[in-house]
Order: sequence, then structure tokens, then C-alpha cells
Amino acid sequence: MQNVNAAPKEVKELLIERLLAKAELTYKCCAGNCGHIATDDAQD
Amino acid sequence: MSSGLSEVLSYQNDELVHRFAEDFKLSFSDAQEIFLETKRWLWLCARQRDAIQKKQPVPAFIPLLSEAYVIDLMWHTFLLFTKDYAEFCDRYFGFFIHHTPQTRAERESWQLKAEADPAAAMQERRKSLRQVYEYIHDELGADVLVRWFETYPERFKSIGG
Repeated sequence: MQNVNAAPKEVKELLIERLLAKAELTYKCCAGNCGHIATDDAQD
Repeated sequence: MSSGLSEVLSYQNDELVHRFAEDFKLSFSDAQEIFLETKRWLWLCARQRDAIQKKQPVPAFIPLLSEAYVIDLMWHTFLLFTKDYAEFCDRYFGFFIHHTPQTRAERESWQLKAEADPAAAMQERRKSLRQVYEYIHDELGADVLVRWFETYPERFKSIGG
């Protein structure tokens, strides 16, 4: 149950903690080219 | 410079939504909803790139994780329509958003790490997830975060990863 009197920052933290509690060790992931852009920029 | 979110979300492509609905045995409206969230995800990728170029403090990497697998599946379907996808990226973002899957080497490396020290690996995974969750929360709001990582995995678990 979410604390309705919590400050926005606390609400965000509670939500993130709730999601993190479901994290699993095995996972798949895909990404946009975001990670590679930083590398490209560094080479420019 | 990328387009605004509402402009990106206004893009329609019924052909690919029908294709997704057929492939995964979903209603057209469910598929349409997932496509809406996929466009939101792509906008976030473009926004992150803009922020990196402006040297703003954003995560260097925002992977689409298995927790939001249904959005990744819709992205895969969008990628089948190469011409539409390329035009979409060019029109709304001015550059092509490549799809970069986790490599076998990355999976194997993670597997070794997880086997050697599961607690440390879990801590690392949570740290990485936290960055992603915080970024999505701050850019798109709590509702989107809950939808992608809590509601959809349950609602669409029949087609999950």
C-alpha cells in the first residue's frame, strides 16, 4: 500500500524499490543506439 | 533535434499494428496500445541521444529490459517494415535508431558473473535497473514506469520473453 502522505520524492523511491524487488538475475535486453552514440561522439 | 512526444505519438501505422495483433493473437486495440508505448520508448531513446550531445547528465545506456519485453517485441515488428521504420526515424528524430540486442559474449559474461557471485551480480543488476527506472520516471512519469514494468508483464505474460 502506497503512503498517500509521502512527499513526491518518497513516492518515487517507494515505486522504484517496489519494481526493484521484482528484479531477476537472468534477463534479456535490447537497446536503441544510445550506448553507441557516446562512443561515436568520443571518436569525433 | 527530435520532435516532441505528442507529435511522435501521433504517428499511425495500422499495417504493422495488424501484423503484431495477428502474430501474437492480441486484439487490434491491445496491439495499438503497445505500439503507442513503443513510440514513447523510441522518443525516449532519441531524447537521451540529444541530451548526451548537449552533455546533459543522463544515463549513457538505457536498455529495453526483459521486464518490458512486450515493447521490444513491438519494436521488432516495426523493424520488419524497414521503409516505414527508416522514414519514421528520419521524420521524427533526424537519425536512425538502431536496434542493438545483447550479444552472446555479453550474455555469457553476465552468466559467469552471476554464477560466481550471485549477490554481487544482483546488486549490480539492481543498480543498473535503478538508473533506467529513475530516468523513465523523470522523463515520462510514474504511470508509464508502472505500465511498462509492472502492468504489461502481467497483462501480456502470454507473449512474454
